[in-house]
Amino acid sequence: MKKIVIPGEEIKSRVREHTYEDKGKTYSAVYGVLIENEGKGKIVPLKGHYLPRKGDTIIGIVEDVKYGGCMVDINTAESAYLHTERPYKEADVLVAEVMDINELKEAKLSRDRKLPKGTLLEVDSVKVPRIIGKNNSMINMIQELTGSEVIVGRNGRIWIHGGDITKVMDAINTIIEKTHVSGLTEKIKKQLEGESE
Amino acid sequence: MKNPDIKLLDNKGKRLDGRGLKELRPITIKAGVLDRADGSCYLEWGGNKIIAGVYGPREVIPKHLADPLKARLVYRYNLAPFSVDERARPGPSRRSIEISKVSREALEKTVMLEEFPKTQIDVYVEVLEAEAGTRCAALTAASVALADAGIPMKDLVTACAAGKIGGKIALDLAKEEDNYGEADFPIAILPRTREVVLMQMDGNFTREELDEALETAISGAMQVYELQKKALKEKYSVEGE
Repeated sequence: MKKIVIPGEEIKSRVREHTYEDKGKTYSAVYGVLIENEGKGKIVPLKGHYLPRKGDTIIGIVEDVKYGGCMVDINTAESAYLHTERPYKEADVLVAEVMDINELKEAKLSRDRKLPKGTLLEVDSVKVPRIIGKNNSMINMIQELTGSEVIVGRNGRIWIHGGDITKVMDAINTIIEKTHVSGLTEKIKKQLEGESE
Repeated sequence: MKNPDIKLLDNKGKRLDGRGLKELRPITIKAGVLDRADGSCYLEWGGNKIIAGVYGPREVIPKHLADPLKARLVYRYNLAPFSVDERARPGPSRRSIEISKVSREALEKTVMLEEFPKTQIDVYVEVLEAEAGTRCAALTAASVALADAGIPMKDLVTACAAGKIGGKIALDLAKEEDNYGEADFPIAILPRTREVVLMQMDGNFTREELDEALETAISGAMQVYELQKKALKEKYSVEGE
């Protein structure tokens, strides 16, 4: 069962994230879609802000180069610190992993790799799981059918390189518009194949 | 404020605009109207036309104002120069600074600011056309815009005014009733718990009248809440099982 919930709406099933408790009852804390299944459920916010989590793969832009590392804009209010010996320049685009976050939700990055020239898109971070798909199904399919190399960062940045970039962008826009439609992978497949014929 | 020459209630107990004593003006709310804002809302409440935009959480500027424990909420209520009969001088006035402060404090009660330390959430509310009760309408629009921005909150904030005209308690005063009536009493509540987060008063009530006005205003706010809920639920439709 899918249903739209608003902040302060009571939730009967067990939901851990995006909720709060008051006097033994659970209430939604966000404006989102509640997906219920046999007493358990989850809330997917309709819009959101990227908050770094340990283990996230993100795409960042170098803001400031310091001795022994650099400050990286990762689409959050506070920039993240990357400890690295690689010679980055300002405005370089890189993919990295969030190693650690502190109480202030500031991230420390590592396992960085510089990305060559490509196209960078920014989308709402709540849409990212849909763009990746279950077990990377969506993103693998898009890469296969367009011949592009696509890297999706958890922070809502998408880097596209080579192949048919416009087709990738069209597919991503369709996913963003139809986030809450089921069977989306099939629809995108048809869209991509239809245009190639 | 009181003017004996103006009759605000006719013999049948109807008001100047034909409403009953416990009737709201017509309200329409639309969520998500601005493309560039993170969340937004357009609201019409009688003759009031209000647009609210929410930006953030984003970097705090100037940086020393950042709070390491929670986000900073900025609320700006602005009366457009062309929104009132006589042109309002642009920029913040004594009145708009006060309204911004009390409205911000009302929203601070419900927005989960501790989720976004060292950031700032901006709420800008522009009154494009004013016709009494703008602070209630502005706060109602702002809370819909905050929810639309995906900012975690405990509840929406719903506001409504009550007042006294012709010796009787009435809901949601219109312009003439506000200008020539005996009292105006705007409140804002959290609809789930009915906790009062804003309360102001202009004019005089007896103790009994105050109780009645509070009850009237809360019942009005609950009607407004249903409209806020509807606006948010209508914006998206869910397909599938």
